[in-house]
Amino acid sequence: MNELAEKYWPKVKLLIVPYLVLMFLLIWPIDYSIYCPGGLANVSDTVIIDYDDDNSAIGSFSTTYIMTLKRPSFFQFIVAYFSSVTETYSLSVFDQTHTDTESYQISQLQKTTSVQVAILAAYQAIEAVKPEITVTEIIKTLVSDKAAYLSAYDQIEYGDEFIALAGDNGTVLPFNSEPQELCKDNDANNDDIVDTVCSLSDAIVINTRLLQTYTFTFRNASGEDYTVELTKDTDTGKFGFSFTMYHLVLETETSPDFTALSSNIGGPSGGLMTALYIYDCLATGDLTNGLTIAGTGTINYDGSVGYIGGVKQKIATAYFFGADVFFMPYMVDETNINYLEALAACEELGINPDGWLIGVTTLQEAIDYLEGLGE
Amino acid sequence: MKKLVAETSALIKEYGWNNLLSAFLGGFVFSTLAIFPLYIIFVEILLLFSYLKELWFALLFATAIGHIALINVMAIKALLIKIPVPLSNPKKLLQIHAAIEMGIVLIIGVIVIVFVIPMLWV
Repeated sequence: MNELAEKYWPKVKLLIVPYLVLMFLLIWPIDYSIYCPGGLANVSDTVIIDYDDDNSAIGSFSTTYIMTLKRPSFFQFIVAYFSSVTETYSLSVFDQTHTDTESYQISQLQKTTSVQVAILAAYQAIEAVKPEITVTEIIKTLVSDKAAYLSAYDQIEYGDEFIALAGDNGTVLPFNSEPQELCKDNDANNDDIVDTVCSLSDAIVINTRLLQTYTFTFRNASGEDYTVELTKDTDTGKFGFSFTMYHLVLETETSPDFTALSSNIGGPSGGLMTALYIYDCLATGDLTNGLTIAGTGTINYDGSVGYIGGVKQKIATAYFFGADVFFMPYMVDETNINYLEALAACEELGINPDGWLIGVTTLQEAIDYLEGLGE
Repeated sequence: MKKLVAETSALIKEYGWNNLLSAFLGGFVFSTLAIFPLYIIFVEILLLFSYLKELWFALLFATAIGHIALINVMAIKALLIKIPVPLSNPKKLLQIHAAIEMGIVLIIGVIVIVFVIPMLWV
């Protein structure tokens, strides 16, 4: 070893500074995030429908996932900045305030609820044609986010169901499927208000005025109820968690049975493709026509398709992995930004969107398009 | 094979274990310093462009093969500095040693790329 050190020391001495600079560029994380192309995930690996009508699909339905790289190195940032298939962003407030584990748990909750909504939408779409298929909807209010200052942070898990809140006067306010009934005037400057539990769009606002500590009841993933006393954070005056109201499936009153499978891919943007796959499992005939059908878009319980992020990376991914058709949300209200982004991405990547990029606003539009291909 | 074992014994006898280990340690330290940034570069690019994961894994294994070659080349240099005109043939023996190691890494690489990645990736 000493012989080599003596022989190479003059060269090593010259290279020490450039070497350290190179290592700094390769290792030092910066406050950005990078959206990168990911892959196609076959929906048949996500959910199993217990329904056999002897019409196994020849083609496939795939969701398109992308990878988000948080706090990349300088080197990764530079490479991503000049690449046509990646995009760089300043680290969002969400990313700055959530650990990787929290982000993963949130994305898994979004994925789980998205599969349930896809089941609702697909079963409802085929109910009229096949009366033996039934689905019952249930609305649940789940813990969708937690702040670091939540006083019972370790007890409350993402996805736990909010059951009840004991109010200032000791009255227990159950939070059932009709939250609006409990909603008082949230903005009123009225000292008589002891508690208000309001639904504001899809977010739930709990407004407690008098005390600092309240007793909440939740139901965990195993179906067991538990009670915790939560104290408001002194700086923010908030408890430190968020609820979201979800339309889910009441499994006991739904037929045929289904099994949602776990996977590492999270987020809600596979909803449309999951719903299409489920519809194809239940419908007579093969919607795929032997093609690799890919796409992206969230699904709502009424069958409408919602906005997604990472359009360019999803287009690139679907193209690289040889999708024959790619479904993309096409909003008719507000903006068409997803579809316009997709068209711009196709142009930049040299993809001909005609007959490949299909904008849809509802599940039914996607079904109609695929049925049209088979005629 | 018998000849190879005899030549290896002659090499060990001529240099001694301490000198051989010192040469390999030097080769490992200096080659690792040189190659380490390449490993990081390929892993970071793999994370960015994972849709080409087979390519990046192939390059990672190629880098590992190069790393092994470099370790042995440096070890040979170190041994030749210790005894400039040896009676045994360290160059030939270490080249064989490197070829065996590189072959093992190549086989592992092929198994990873062909079997493990398709099974385990997402």
